[in-house]
Amino acid sequence: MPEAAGRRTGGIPLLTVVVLLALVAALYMVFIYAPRERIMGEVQRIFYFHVASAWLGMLAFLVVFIGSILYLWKGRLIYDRIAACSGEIGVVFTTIVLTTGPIWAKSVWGVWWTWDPRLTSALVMWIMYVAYLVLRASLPESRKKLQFSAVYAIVAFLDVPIVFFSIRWWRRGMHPSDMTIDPQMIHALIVACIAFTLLYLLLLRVRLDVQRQQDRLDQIRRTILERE
Amino acid sequence: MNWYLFAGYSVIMGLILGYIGFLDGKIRKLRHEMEILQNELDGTTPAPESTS
Repeated sequence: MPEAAGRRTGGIPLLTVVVLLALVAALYMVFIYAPRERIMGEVQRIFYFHVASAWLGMLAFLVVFIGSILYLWKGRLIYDRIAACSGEIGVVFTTIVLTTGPIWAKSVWGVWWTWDPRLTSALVMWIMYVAYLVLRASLPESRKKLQFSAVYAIVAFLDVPIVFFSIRWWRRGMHPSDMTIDPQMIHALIVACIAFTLLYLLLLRVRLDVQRQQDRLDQIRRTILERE
Repeated sequence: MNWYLFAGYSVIMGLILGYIGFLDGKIRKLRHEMEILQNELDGTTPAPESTS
């Protein structure tokens, strides 16, 4: 794990230790504690981290949304940076959702992909946030870029509730709108979600550290150019 | 061994570790660039990587 600021335990940041322990606990819950699903078999164990990644993707995009609103409202750079860093992590976890889902679907239903409302809206969400990152990377650093990115992120967030409620609004496709699930499976899912949320916090912290260093470097470069 | 399960978890591990590697690479690159700029500001040339 790259360096992260914070309290340290023998040279390793405390949050890193907590995340590693939480991930080990989640793996134990998923592979040993949770029972084998009767119909789908072992492959159903993809479910736990698939759902945890989906939860995290949406949480990360919610942070992008809030950060963008706060940036437009207060005008403080830190809110833009939190939004950008969270967007990047959200794309990573949504990529996990969009790759593990088809692997699971192929094994259970025999198809990689169907254009059902949940899958389609999730793919649209992923494309919109990849576009957000591309947009940020391609425009030169200026106040206008940050404002435009914030407005784009607020509009892009409209798709997130559509992804979440798609299985209730359009009751068709691979994802069930309601299901009964073994309590042990629910426990494993909760632990996986907690572990991934802690991992998100750690990644966000490290990513913000990287961004801070990048901003400092740009500042020094500008100072040198002004001197010349 | 269920190969779909193996593939699924390989993707999860690969993407998370890949992103951590990306961040690590970025930190190293920034640190190196910062060193070069610091030397420029101090008016010194960066030390050679190897003396042999």
